[in-house]
Amino acid sequence: MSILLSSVLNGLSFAALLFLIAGGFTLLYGIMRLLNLAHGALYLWGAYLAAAVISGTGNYLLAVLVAGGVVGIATVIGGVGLFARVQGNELREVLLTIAVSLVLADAALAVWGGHPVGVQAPEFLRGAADFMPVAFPIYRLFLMGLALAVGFGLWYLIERTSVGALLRACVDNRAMLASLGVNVRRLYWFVWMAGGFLAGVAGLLGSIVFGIAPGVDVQILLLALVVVVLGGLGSLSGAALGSLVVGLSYSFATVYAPELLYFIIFGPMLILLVIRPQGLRGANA
Amino acid sequence: MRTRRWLPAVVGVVMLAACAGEGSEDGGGQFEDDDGTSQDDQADPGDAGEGGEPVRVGVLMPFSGPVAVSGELFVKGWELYWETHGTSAGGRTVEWVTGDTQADPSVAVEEARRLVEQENIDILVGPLLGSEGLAVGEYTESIGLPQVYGIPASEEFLRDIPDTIFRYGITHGQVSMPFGEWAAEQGYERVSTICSDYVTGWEICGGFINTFTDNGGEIVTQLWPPFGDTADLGPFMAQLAEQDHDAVYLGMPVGDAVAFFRAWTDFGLLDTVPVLGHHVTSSPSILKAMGLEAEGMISAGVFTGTLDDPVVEDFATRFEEAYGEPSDPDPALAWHAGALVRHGLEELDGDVSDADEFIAVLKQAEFPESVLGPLSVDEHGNVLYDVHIREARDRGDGVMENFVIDTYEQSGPNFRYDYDMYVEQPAYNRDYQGFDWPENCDAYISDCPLD
Amino acid sequence: MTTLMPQLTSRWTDQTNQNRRFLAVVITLVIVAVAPMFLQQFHVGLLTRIFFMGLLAMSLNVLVSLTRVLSLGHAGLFGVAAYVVAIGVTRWELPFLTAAAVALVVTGLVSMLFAVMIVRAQGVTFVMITVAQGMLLWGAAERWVSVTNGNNGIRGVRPPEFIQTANDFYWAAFAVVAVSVFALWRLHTSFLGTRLRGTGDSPTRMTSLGYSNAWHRFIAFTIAGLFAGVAGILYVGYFGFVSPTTLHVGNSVQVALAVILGGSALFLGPLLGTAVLLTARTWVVPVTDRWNLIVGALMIVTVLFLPNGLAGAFASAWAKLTRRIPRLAGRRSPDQNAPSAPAEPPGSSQPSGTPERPQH
Repeated sequence: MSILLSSVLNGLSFAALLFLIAGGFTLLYGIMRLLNLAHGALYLWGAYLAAAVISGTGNYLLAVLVAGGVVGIATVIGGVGLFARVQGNELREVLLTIAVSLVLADAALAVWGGHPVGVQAPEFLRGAADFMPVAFPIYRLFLMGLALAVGFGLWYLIERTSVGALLRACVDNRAMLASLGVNVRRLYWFVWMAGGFLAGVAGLLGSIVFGIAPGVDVQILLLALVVVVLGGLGSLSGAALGSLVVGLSYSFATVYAPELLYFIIFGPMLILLVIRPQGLRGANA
Repeated sequence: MRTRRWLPAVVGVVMLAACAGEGSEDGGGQFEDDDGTSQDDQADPGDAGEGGEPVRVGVLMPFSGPVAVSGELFVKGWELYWETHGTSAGGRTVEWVTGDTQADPSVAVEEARRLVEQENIDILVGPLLGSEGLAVGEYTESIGLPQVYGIPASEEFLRDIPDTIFRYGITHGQVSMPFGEWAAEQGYERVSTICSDYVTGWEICGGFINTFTDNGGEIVTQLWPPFGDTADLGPFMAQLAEQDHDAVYLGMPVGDAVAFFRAWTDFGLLDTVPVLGHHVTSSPSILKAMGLEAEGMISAGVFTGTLDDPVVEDFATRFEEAYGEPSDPDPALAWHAGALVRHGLEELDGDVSDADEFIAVLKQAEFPESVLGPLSVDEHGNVLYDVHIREARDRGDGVMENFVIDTYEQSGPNFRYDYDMYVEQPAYNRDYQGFDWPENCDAYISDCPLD
Repeated sequence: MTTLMPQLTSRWTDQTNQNRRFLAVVITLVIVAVAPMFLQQFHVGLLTRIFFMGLLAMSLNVLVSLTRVLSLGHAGLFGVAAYVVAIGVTRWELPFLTAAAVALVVTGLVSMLFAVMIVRAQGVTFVMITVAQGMLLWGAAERWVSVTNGNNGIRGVRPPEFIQTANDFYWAAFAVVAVSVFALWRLHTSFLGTRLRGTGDSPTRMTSLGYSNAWHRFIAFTIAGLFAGVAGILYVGYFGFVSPTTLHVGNSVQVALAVILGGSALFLGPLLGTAVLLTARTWVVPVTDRWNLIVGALMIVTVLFLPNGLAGAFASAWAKLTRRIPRLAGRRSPDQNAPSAPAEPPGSSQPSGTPERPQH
């Protein structure tokens, strides 16, 4: 019974982390229609920056601001300076982000070295929650809460605010929006910044669980892709659903079908894409 | 389509321009030359002596990709060796060039070929990973190049190793087998294992289980998280928390070990049972990433900078002075590779033309004092090491290192088992973990610890 | 469709130019065939690798330039062929050529299976499915130890008896690749090739003309997989071993980079891209460890400024040199909307090559 409970909890907390990792990715796809394969590299830089700030100052708030801010600004520069030049051509967009991720990952290796880095949660989130019936870390409970908050925040931003209305309008018809006098460029900057910020902060959140090492960027990217593609590209609720599917199936497979662990992430995704290419929550193919 | 006809020509010209060169030597891939030799444009080794041609050594390591740090550490130790001892050996000057394997076996072979054919190396040192080593070993054997090969620990080398390779490193079982016996003798009865699900993890766990169960220990459960994944370790922790065991044996390399320890701490399991580790889970750089909570982790390994041995102390001090980080097994192995190359050159007066002879000399070399402790060689060419059981402690300035608490002297890859029997057992994998030997171990070893 | 065909046929049947091109091809073939006699052994090996890795890139280009989709799992099919040969030779003790034939059949079957999965997919969904396919094949190589020997890979694959030296292998690889490239050329210029292009460029028009887009995607993917298999057979023959790294998604990415660097719009572009990447690597690696950074930067420049890749850049430089109007292969440019690319023919009146975006 307790194994069942902890499997559910682990699955949910892994899902929460996956959702937070995929947040910036899904935002950029949802609004900019960019399949950002440099997402893992942005995550990696966020993780290293945050780890450096924490080991230097011990200030987690500052780490969030630096990781999110620097990665966000870099994303704005990349988005406006590079991506805008190839916008509209999917093939070149994808290749451009691959190229950028090669550069960023190798630069990270040059700057930060290849030693593994461990990042601890802030003091008040360390250790196991003693009020739970099974061993379970406080930090993972925090992740679940944070994922709910971020998910709700993004939903509220996009669906309920005037900025959100503009963003949605922008997805549908940006020329029309520009002709109505809206500063589309500034809107774009906002989206790039938000996407990069989320990716950078995800670096901090994820590295507390996974640690940081070269190569993590590719694995994070693959996780984000699976989650987002399962749910339906660009759909916020889809990303949430995809996270839950991956998180829970991974958690249960670990306990009940460990032999299949290697295939548990990509197998279901492949099957789903073949049956339903638009993903669980995608609108149409 | 008028303008397209230039394209084949351009492609051809570019390809040939890339290859501008003279001579019509033959070779490549896994093939031998027509005349059976490959290095005839190299220095004639006969004219060794003062003023003779330098000996060129190729240092083949990953310098990019996920394990780049090991390559960098190795080169640090290698350079430090020659800076300390001077580059003259056997009447010749030693030079070296590096090659980057990118942790990919086929790239490793290509780089080995580049070093041989373009850089005219006489000796190859490296590479790092078992898969790389197996691939490069085939190539160096085919062209008769001596290969000094330290880090790889795959037991596949026990079963099949070319004469042109001197494998001076340990196998994983060489370290984890004494540890299994030690754990059982310390009174651990029920142990759960968690090892990465690939060949390294299988061998680390398999060796431990082999001796631990032979000495009456019992394995409660074996968990196999995927290797190198950002796989969530939470479900594994939940399972470990459920078990009734008195220790957990950890065999997840480097970054994965850090992730394990994070999860282990966060799930509140730190104070439940001790974690027993392996040298790949407990080098100083890994301990640093784990944080001070890792204090007290017991592990087995052959090198630690804190060993009470003047040669080791000297190396550890020099390394830390030069690079500002605690010494690590990788640079120590590189330092010893330097010592081996020097030994071979001096024994043969700088003549490295015969790979088999060079390797044969190395296989006979005893190092009563080396940076890796006293070393001897068994009749199969395996190097016997002192295997240390160490405990991770803060050495006083906030830096954690491993301090020796027990030592198994001169232990080989077969440990106490009969060599041929050991090699004939199946390769360790997820399904074969050496469980088959308990109870009647005196069929295999001379002094069965069960008696 | 009707607007596509006359242009193509008129171009391809230009008799004088065909003769001159034929001559150029023959001269190039002869030079490349005698090259090993004048080259160092390292360069013979390098050229051999360029042959089969170039063939792999060209097989991927069947998807990129014709059906306008990017596969990031292509190295998986390449690796399947290599593994089947390795298993056939070492485990079943088959002769190399028999194992190669088995490998082609298996690769073809796997390609067909995978092709069935992708027929409905476009754009990023296609990319994602191929990533998943590649990762599953990699997982199988890594985990199915009893067959693949796991992470250590399989060693000791000897080529057929009649190949003794590296030069023999060079010529064998050259012959196989030359025939394969010719076959691919026939595909590109055939009516089937035109229909595959139609599937990539204007699927709705294809449907209205009564052609099945799904069927053509299936064919394109299977053909690409088969030629990747040929390259994989040469790979394992050359190196003598195969390991899971061979089919990792990172390897697929490298192949895609070679295609784009060389220029997917030109038939031999991917071969050129492979040649440049493999050759440059031998120059860069002795100098710096930052090879990946350099490749990435090179790719950014290529994607931004050279929509037709290096081949396109050479072409336009050549065209300028000969003072001709740059009437390049811009028609097949992957991006007509790109801002002021140098290789872009001014005022190109060709039908747009922009792939249709999936509607999300």
